Amino acid sequence: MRSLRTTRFVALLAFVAALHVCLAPRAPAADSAPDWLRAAAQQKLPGYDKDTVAVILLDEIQTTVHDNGEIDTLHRGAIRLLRPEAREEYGGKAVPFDKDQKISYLKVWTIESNGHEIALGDKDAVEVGYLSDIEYRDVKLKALQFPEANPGNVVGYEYVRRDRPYVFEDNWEFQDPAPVVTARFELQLPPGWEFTTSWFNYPEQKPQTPAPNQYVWEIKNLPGVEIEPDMPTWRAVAGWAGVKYFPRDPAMRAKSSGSWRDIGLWYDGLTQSSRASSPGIQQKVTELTSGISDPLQKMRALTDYMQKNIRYMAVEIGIGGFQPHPAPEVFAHQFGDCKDKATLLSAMLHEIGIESYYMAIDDQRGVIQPDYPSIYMNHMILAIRLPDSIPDSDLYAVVNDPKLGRLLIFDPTNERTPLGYLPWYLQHSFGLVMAADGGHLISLPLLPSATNRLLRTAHFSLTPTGDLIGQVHELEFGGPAEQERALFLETQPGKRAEVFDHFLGNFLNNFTLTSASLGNLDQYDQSLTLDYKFISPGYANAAGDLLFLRPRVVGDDKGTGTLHLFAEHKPRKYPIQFEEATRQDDVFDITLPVGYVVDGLPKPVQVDCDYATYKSETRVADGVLHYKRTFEITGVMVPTEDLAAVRDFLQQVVADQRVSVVLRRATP
Amino acid sequence: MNRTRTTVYGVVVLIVAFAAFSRVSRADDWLPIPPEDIALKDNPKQPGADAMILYRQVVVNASKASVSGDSQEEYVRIKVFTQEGTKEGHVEIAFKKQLANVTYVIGRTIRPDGSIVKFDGQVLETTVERITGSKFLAKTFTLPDVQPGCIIEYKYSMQGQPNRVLDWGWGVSQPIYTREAHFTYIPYAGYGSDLRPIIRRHMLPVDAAPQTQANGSYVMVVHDIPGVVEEPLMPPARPLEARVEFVYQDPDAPSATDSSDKYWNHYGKKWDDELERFIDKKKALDQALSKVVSPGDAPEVKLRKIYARVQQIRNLDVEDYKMAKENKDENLKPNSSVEDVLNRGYAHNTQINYLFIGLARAAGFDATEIYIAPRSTDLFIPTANNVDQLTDELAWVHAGTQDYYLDPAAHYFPFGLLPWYETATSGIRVDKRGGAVVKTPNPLSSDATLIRKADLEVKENGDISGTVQVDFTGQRGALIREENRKEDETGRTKFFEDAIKGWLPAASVFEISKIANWDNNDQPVHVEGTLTIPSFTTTAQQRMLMPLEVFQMTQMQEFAPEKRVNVVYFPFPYEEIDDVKLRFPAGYKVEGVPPARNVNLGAVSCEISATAQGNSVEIKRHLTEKNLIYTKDEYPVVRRFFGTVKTNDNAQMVFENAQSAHN
Repeated sequence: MRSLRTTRFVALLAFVAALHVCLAPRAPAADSAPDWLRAAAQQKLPGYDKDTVAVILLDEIQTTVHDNGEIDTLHRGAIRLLRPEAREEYGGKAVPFDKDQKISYLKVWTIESNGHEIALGDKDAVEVGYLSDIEYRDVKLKALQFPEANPGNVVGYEYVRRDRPYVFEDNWEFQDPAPVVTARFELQLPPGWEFTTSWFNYPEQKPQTPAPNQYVWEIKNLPGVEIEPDMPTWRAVAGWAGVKYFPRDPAMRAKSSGSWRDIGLWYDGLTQSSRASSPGIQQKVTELTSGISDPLQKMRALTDYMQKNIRYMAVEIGIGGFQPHPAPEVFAHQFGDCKDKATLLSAMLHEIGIESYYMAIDDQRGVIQPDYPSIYMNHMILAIRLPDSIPDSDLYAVVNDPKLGRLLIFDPTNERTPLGYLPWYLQHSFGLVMAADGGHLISLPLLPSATNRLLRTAHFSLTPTGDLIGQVHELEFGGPAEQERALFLETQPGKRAEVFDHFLGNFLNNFTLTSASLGNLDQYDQSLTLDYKFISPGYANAAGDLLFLRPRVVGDDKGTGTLHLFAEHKPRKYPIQFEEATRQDDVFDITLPVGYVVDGLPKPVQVDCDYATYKSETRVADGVLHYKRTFEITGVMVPTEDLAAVRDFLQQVVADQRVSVVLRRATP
Repeated sequence: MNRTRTTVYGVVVLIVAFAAFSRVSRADDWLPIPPEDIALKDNPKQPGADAMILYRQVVVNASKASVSGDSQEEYVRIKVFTQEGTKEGHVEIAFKKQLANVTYVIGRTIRPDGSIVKFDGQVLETTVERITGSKFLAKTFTLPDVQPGCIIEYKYSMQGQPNRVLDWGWGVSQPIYTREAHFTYIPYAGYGSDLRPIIRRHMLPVDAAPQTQANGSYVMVVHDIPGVVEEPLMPPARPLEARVEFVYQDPDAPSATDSSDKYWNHYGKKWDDELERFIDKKKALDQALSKVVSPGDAPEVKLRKIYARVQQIRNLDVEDYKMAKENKDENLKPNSSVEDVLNRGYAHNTQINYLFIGLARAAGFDATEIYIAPRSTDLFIPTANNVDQLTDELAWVHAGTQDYYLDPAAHYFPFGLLPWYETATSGIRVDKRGGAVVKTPNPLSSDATLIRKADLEVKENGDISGTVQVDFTGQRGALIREENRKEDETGRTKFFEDAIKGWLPAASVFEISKIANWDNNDQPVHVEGTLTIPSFTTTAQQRMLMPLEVFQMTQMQEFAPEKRVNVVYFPFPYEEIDDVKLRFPAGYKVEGVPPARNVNLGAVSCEISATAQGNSVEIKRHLTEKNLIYTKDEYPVVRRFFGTVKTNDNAQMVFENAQSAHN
């Protein structure tokens, strides 16, 4: 699916930023700064935090909708640069456009602190395309760097872009990481056209109507939305308004997404013939499913084929941002993007008598707003109608839809999540399932922690000199298995031992890995297993007759990893979002050296917060130390008011994981 | 400071022309595929590879450059071993629209079962960049059904525009392993065809060399060329890459086939003439000198004063790129002599060094310019007779009884300290007689020292907190000043906080209270702040345990892999000197501290010791790394060294709560 305009261009903007040094000197534009920029530059500003890099003095969009469906957008901005860092984010202006869009002009200006003005225009601009290993898109950027983009100066830009959109929908994102003094959106509609607005993360604003069919919204003094690690996606925290236009001409109304049903109808029309099969597809399905009678196993054969054989490669030109390539074409090339893969799999499933539906989603939680039907989502998956004959007790990705029945949600683009499991980015979110009679939104659940398991069992023996020898067995499924598989599969087989080395190096000062193996690495529907053995000389610290043994010998430390989110001077403003609910268990047995007795054992610990639980226990029996630990995340969104409780919880976890057992030599 | 020299006559283009010469077949007549290549599961000479080039053929034709343009044809056959290797199936061919065009592309995929899928998809054209008058494009295509075990192959040709004679090269090294490659170069044969290219070979196998053919072309066959493997602490990439260059040289310059003495004397005299012309303003220099030095100053004192004066000149080369409009507004005129530099107060790198040399000579010292190959990008091979290697420069002065190698144009480097990439390299020192090969001094570990002092208190709950002072000396300080020259105080504070937090456990909070000496290049950059590390100690009954070293090693990330492909290349030697004082809560007493340890391999060494008194302990640590290069064979030894250092750093101190112990 076509992505949000504001997000996918991050990489391109970085590319453009790097380009400016290559620019050959050029003649200046003759004109000086416009009055609106001068006026913005003369505003008195309140004091800002010393970290503030820039202030958006004016961010104005004038949208003129023409009766033929074309839209002209004039966008102008004025920014006062406060700190050198501002050059990174506000040192230039890059305007995206594709084959359906035309930029009439792009101009930039700088007003220096001494009042001197510099202007640049189209002939100074650079156009940059989009190069990627896995995507071809016809989108380009027209870009200009602001001259003398130095602290104290005011920079400004203005451009006009003409667009013939496939849908009449616009998102006005009026907040920014920098404070905004004035944000203005002006809409000019042809007679007979209508519009709606929906407001998010900001109170609804009523427009002024200075002229017939002209509407103006203006917001003053918006605070900056500072980026914090592991915060929810931008659209879930920053203020924005969705604006939809409804044409006078009923024939053009298909471009307006008034409801989720409308979007489904529009997309059904766009993809009507996409899923038609071909002799080649039929032959492949027959080949893959021959000898299999169980319908679920047949489905698995097809989804496995899709995951392992159809590469991700997107070719998006014009409407190709929305419309998939026909299934026979995807099959012939053996590559496609998300909607292509969904299309081919749907055609193949149809061959075995199983129906499926496109499901549009966004892989960022919080982007899809149930009350605001919108086509701007960034991913396409399949909702597979589960036949009555297939039980769903082992399928975690089944959603009961009142209209379509049991739907098994599957992402054919995800190469490692098996059929029946819902990847984390689809959980706790919404998906738009689209059928011939329209679309409707369904809620995708947060899977319980038990579906994302890591069970680590280990047997160690400790020598009197503190050396530790042992073997570890890890059993993983769900999210942990997917992440671990990705790590190993993206590592050359000859270098996979280094992954184990790196992992152990996180906890052990001194060790030698003596063996390591993986089980079910390619069997995505099976639990992934890791087995490794190592020797760690001097693991237990000796002091006189004492040995200090930390029983949590190995294991990821989610507690410490998450604690870094609290290591900033400023308190967090936004919630923390975990990827998924998960449970991780360690069960370690450590045979103690002969002649040593336990001098002191840590007490059992159990701590909880509303989003996670932790418990550990250490005991000794028959010369063997038994250590058990369970860490469980049960909720994925921690609101700001609960952050302190989560930090306290994590600190207790971290402290407990560092506790040592004291052993004393009983015999001289 | 860096500067660019070039003898290239035009812009490199990629193009086609053929007929009697060798060429890549355009038709769909691919070379036969041996069954053993289909069955191949791994690269036996580089096990675990994602993919390898089985066969590559490159034909470069410059024979009709003046008529139809230069050309290049390429045929590549790749074996894919892993999922990661399937990325080779997406191909990008970059070219400049005004100078060349990709005229055809064909390709196919041979599946593991031997069946063949022809590429019949789109060849898409992407604008990489367009600026006025220039358009850089890329042809991209994706071969079908690429999966582990398959073989992919493709051919393409590029045709250039006429009337250009260009320098050319065969890029022999590729990102992945090449089993066999054939190269052909057909030189220019049109008007002025007495122009013959000079051939330069780099990093080729001993048995590989371009062979002249009867028709005037050159051919070469190579086998088993390893891919360029990226690793931490890599030497500069260019000297590692196997390549052949065909260079059409300035007819007025000495031939690259002449003796090296003749070659470098020619350039030495030429550059000396440039220097002499620029500094030929004795009166202006004498006047300037008289304001800077006193007659009674010792030679080095004079030199230091001159250095300081010259470093006050505004260096235009370290400023941001400015458009013509901005330069025009500032009325920056080009300098033609040291007098202009002195009067205007701005200059480029070379002009700053020229001014320094002029003033040094006016003070009675021998002084001249040295052109070098900076270690960051290349190695200087004098016998290669390639002036393009020398892209950097510095000044040499003989004052008193001592030789000085100085780069006053390197604004953040104080007197006596060269930027690391100008040390331990070689180049050409110019004089009236010509040029002589010289080597610049080796850097010292004491010229890049990190000094960390901490005064910390351990809390009952295991947190530690207190003050930390850090000095970044010499090379370290200069590089930090240079890297952060555009930052304001807030930006610098963030830089140091992030840098220091990189040595500390996750969740540590470090807040800067002072940054000193920022504008005084002669002094270390000094940073002070307050530190809190939550839950740093571990508990065991009534005891507290904590590692000797609070600051965590950063080197282990670079030495994590057990195996190494490239040599280990440190930009500069360095030292770390730590002095940490810890106070434990009242009632605690030392139960045991690890004994002092000293690991000394000569080139690298580290000693750490702890001295306890009552409930306090002082830890001192000194790590020294003196070498620039360690071979692959030495890698395990150095890796083991840092492993041992880490073990010693993490040896635990044990403190007992005396009161609890007696209850």
